[in-house]
Amino acid sequence: MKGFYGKYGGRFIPETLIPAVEELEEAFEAFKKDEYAQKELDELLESYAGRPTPITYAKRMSEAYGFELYLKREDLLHTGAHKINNTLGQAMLTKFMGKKRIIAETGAGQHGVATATAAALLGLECVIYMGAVDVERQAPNVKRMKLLGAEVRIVDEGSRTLKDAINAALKDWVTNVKTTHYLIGSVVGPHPFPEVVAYFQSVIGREAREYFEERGFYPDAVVACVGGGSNAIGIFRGFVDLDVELIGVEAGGTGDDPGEHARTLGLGKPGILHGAFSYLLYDENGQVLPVHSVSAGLDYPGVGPEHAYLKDTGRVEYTYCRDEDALSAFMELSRLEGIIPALESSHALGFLLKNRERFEGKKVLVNLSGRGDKDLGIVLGGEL
Amino acid sequence: MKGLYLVAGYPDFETFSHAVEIAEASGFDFIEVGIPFSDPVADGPFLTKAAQEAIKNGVSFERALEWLRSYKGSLKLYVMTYANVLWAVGLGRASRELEEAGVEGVIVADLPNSEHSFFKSNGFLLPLISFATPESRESDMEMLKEINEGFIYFVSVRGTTGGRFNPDEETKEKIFYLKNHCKVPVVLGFGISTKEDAEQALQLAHGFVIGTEAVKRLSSGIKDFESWCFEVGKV
Ligand SMILES: Cc1ncc(COP(=O)(O)O)c(C=O)c1O
Repeated sequence: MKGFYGKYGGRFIPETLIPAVEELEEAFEAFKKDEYAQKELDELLESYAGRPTPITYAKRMSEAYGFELYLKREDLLHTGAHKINNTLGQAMLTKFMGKKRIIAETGAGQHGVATATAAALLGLECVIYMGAVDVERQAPNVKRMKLLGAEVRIVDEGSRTLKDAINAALKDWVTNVKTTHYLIGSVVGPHPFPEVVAYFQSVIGREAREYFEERGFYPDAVVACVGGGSNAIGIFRGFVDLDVELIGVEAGGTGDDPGEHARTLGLGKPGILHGAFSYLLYDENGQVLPVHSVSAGLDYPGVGPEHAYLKDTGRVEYTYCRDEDALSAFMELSRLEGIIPALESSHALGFLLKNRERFEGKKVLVNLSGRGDKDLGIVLGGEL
Repeated sequence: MKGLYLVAGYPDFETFSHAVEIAEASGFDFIEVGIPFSDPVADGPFLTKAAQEAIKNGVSFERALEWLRSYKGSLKLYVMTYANVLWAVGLGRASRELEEAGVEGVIVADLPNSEHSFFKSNGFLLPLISFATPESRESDMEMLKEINEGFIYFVSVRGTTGGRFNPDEETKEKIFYLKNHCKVPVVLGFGISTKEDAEQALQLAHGFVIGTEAVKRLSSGIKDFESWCFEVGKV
């Protein structure tokens, strides 16, 4: 069915927003057919954002752990994470639709910074919603957004994290829908957002596949962290038709009780939140459960509907990494390779290091979705 | 068709039941019983907070159902909630139980008209109330003309609950068009709070429903609620 991945997806939003998502769908279809616009985006990605990103063979880490580790270096992009692939694309769609204001949610602040950057570049007004808890733990990114000319609105409702920032952004959108585009930062939300974001992020997988094809082999496994799931979909789409293991790593937090983790696919059930039918963490009354992760970007009770579908079909294995294992992977990569990873990406690495026997002698590609400058306060501040 | 929206069990079930009696005595025709959801994206700050308090006090689908079953008054009953609350119960079971409790229809704030089919194909058989909005296009309105159950809920402002009732000319034209062409009544909601708003709404459409203001009055005391209710219920 249109707008669904298997049985997951849909448009579970207030009626007022339906014309806006249909307008977006039309703009997206037109964009895909418009060679000139595509070229413009490709040029921006190259000359402004820094694509293509390299793949680094992590030699010392590989020697230490007994596997062959390849890193897709999205951390080297302008603004420091894969998020800019999507924000440049959607900012262009905003212009296509003749809208002049963009709003976005952010958890880690990376999507907020990437949105504020695209807004500055294309001359759009920009408002970012961010939970109060995240404003505190990702403070450097708040300053960056403000410098870039965005207004940062602090959300003090609910759990004061990513979920509540999305609620606030949806409420803004329903009020200002005539002038405003909601630039969603992951493969979540109502149709067509999951497809739009996946489309702009799939450049990661395309480049990675090319790299391996040039060398005449494929990796045995591709590993990515999963918050909403955009960096994971981005890299998986390059390998989904091949005999390559795909592994999505959710935030295991401190344990498996409600409120201790963000293992939506691992411990949740199908449910409806933020516009989509997908996996969700909720209680017996349908109320969304609190979640926890040391990483603000993974601290979310929902997940994109395409991941729900990929879980059910068994094509992707969804697993988890605890806070402490992510933190030690953060340290390990910094010391062995001179690369400071984002805490989100550290979950993908942490899973790998924890399960080194399983990957012995194998070629593993990890999507290094972002860099960790924003996380120094958490890692060094002893906040855990 | 004059309606009130109240959050089930808010501020507590006794006060809530009393408020429903007052609504009936003051001339209202129906109530929308809100079953609270943790993440109500169509609600403004006041109703969001009320929902959170109600959840903390243990209000759930089951508790609301118990109340609906026990209701002996003559007001028509509708339920207003969010999709996941019903999904968690099971759509078939939720629909059956609500119907047996005498509920006429359900308003699901995050279920647009185009997703009614998702609910129906998953076993939800009770009437789902269709929405019109200031953003409705001609094609939307053509579909609304065919609706033959419940009523048309016209969300009269762009925004969340608790905004101000002040429909622009274009919106008024849409309301007027639907009023003259639909098979079921057109009821205005969102932002209506005063007697004057209610009077204007009755001129534009077949009815209105008041939410935020009613819940606000009730939270400030049953006496305040009562005098306000008799004022707006009389229009
Ligand atoms: C560096 C980085 N990686 C991953 C994520 C998680 O998002 P997603 O699952 O959409 O890739 C974030 C989100 O903030 C991020 O900043």
